[in-house]
Amino acid sequence: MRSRSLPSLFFRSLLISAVTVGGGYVILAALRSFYTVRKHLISDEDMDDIAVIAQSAPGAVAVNASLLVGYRLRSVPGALVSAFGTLIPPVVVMSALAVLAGAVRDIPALSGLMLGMRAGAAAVILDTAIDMTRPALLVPRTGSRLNGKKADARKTLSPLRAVLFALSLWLCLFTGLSSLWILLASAVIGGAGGVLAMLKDRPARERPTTAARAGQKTA
Amino acid sequence: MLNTLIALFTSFLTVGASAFGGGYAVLPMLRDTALSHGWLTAEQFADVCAFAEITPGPVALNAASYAGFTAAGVPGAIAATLGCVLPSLPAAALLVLLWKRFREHPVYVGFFGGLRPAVCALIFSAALTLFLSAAFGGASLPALLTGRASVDAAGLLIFAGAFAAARMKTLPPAALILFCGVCGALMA
Repeated sequence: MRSRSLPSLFFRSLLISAVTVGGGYVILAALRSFYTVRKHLISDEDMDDIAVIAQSAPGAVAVNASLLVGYRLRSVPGALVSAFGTLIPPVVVMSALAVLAGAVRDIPALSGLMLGMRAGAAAVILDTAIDMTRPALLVPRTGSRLNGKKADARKTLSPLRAVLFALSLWLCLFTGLSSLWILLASAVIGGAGGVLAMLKDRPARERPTTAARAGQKTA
Repeated sequence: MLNTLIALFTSFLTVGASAFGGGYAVLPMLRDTALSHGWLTAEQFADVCAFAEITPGPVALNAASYAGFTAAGVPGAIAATLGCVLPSLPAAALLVLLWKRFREHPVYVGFFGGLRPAVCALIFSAALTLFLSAAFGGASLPALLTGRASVDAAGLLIFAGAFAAARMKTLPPAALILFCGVCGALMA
């Protein structure tokens, strides 16, 4: 029961933020292992929901996740203390690093170290981008959209998403357009695709209804 | 000083509110923000990306803290990071409500489905920026494509090795990046 108290929420999110290297997705796993597996305070399903929402909401996935866990356990005060707990380690660690980096910038071996780390970070980020793109461009086959998890095995490339990806990439690389506009445009076009899909579905679904209505009229 | 703090807070508030897709997707936006205000140089930004991944904590917050500190010390780091975090609270609350009611609605699915390809594109562009900084001395993409960029052999070599290792998932990312740093130091 004590793990639900506000100070405990604060220190737990601080601790998780201080020991997990690599951001959002690692932190989701850490939260699950503590609150779901060890303390049984949040059900598996709720944790799944939290993971989805944390990734959809703007902002750092890690912050969203701790905040939602805090919210789930102690409402708004819980969300606030969890968010602030997550914030403290980055401020402390990165401030210290900034001081250090400024002090050692001119040592040749260290500039080599930084160059190597940048190359490594570029490789890791590119690897993540490749891993994320494949599932992002796939959609469940038509007809199985509402069957949820069962349909996940059978997925097909969405032409709309492929075009959105190519267009966004071109805009990112070759124009100075702010990434916010790229994100918004892509989301709005995706939403419009959803409206079209709804309109296309409707006649198919309503045909029997119209027939039923016609039947009612005659009756 | 106070003006800088306010500018840091409001700029990163915007970043936090529009940062769909988590850490890596935020990097291009952070870069634009930090460079246009002169809080970081392009080279410092590349360092931030590397640091953000080998230090604990969310990548986006790490980058915000570093930029804030460089601009205005510890108060700057706090202002930038706080700005980055605050929009999450109302946004997540709103999304909890929307998600409960509409998660299977075609427009909701389409909207967030449409976000994902753009997020991936942003992450590719973040990787490219960092790659250019490591292997081509921070040249721009047009300069690279027209052959006006000079290659840094050590950087290119480390990148190629690291990319192969990353694809094979041999090492955790932070360890891989540190190892690349050691290689870079030895080659310098």
